[in-house]
Amino acid sequence: MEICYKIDFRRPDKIEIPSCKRIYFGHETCEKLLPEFNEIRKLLELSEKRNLELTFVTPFLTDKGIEKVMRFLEELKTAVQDFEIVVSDWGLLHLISSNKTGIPVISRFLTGQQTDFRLNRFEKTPPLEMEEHLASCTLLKKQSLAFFDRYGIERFELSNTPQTVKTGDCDKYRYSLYIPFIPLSIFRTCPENFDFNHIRENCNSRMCKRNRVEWSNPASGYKIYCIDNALYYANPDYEAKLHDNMYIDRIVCDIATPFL
Amino acid sequence: MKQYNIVAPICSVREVEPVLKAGAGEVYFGIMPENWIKKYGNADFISRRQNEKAHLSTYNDLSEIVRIASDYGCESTLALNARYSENQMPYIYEILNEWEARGGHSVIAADMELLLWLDGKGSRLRRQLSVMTGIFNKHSVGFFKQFDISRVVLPREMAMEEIREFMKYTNREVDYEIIVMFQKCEFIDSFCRFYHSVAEEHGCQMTFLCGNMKMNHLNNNDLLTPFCAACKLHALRETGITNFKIAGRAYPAELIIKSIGFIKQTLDNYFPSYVDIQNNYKSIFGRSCRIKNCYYR
Repeated sequence: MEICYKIDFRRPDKIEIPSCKRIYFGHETCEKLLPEFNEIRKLLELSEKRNLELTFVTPFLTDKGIEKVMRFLEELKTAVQDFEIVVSDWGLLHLISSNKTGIPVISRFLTGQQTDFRLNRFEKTPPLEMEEHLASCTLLKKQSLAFFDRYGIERFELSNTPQTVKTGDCDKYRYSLYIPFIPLSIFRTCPENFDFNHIRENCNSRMCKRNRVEWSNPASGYKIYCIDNALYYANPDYEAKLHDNMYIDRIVCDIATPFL
Repeated sequence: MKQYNIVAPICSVREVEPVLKAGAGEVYFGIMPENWIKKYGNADFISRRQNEKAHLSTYNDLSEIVRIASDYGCESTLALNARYSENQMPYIYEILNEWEARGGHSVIAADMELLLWLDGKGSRLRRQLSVMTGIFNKHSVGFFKQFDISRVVLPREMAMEEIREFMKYTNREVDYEIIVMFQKCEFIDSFCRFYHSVAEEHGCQMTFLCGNMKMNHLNNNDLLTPFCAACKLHALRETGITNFKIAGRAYPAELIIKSIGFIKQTLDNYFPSYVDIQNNYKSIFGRSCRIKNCYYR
């Protein structure tokens, strides 16, 4: 089992990265929080020093965002020979495939996993069909997987949902499991002062401190975390998932955001 | 300038005629057959809209809708815009086969397997790409062109400037559609993983607490002060968008009809200024519009 760490590219020297072979960096929900190349110098030094492989995580992208990512990738190619790109945007997948840039990985925002924590209670007495559906990833279907072959996709990413996750039985594909945060939903921009009713219209990404703010919804029984422009909840226990699914071969621990 | 098309929701056969008479050029709707409800309940797993009341229930309804829409020279579109698991696909294929056999015109889709299946069988159904696919850039249109799509519904979370930029360089072999009335939510449709059921609050209706601060998200009443993009309609049209969608499946038919009239009047340029548009909003919906409820700011 490969253990990787997702870090905040702005603070690689502030976090002690445990022994590992790969680090994840970038941002999965906001294009404004993606790095410029000159902002990852320290990260590159660290990666070279410790012989770490790199995975660049990207969010959904506007046309401006896609230009920014492609510029970044052009520069990254000059510094690193092989790297993975986690894509949350079909346009980016299309583009990096035709440019033969990096190794594409399908992000957990595209695999079609059911992540609402309330769905877990269906597992108590669900009809079989419902149980199957809730455990499924809607992207991982026969024809779709065959279609992705032309994009060279061999890895899909998953969240550590409370319910079982079924990934199919094809040994051609591998899966990464993120812990502990599970995404619920994404805002277009951060809620201002963490108030839903005030969404920033023009945010300044440099002001963003990647804070985790705890929210609660008393009815749900789960703590909700507002991290930048997205809502998450957490499930740090992953042993059962590994037991259930032999094709998960990588754990991605998010240490960019403090959990405990 | 190219003609516009108002796309309006219906949830029963009897709503088709009044909606088309009001000025819609196309109706869209979902279907939730009884055998589906038995297996998967009435949450939003079939068309990203919960509740059987928001859907048709029988295949005969499909035939009726095609007949009425065709009498008016209008199009009818079936929304199958959820993403489905492998075991759900036979139900979806059955619905699509029925829809096509009964003369249906188009389908709104977000599931890649569904699009590949339509392609593989050489279906004549036109394919509209749902907001659920999250097409925020021109390269995504290029990606989905492989699936023979005819229309892209743009995300309602885009800003006006982003829409202009997108439309300037994007592929014009397909049509574009944008939502202009009702139900704007601060969550991004294509990335919202809250499930929507009849009995429980949606993620956007939940109240959250942050310390002592109480956060209500969609606490305004869309039925009283509808979300709308009327002030942006001409700017949207200038970008090349020709299809304007009224959201709100299962909203009262009278409200949908009022909103079609409102959008049509605005598109037909009855109002020379924003103030006139806003006054018309007030006269139709009975309340002043609110900036918080503006689309595409």
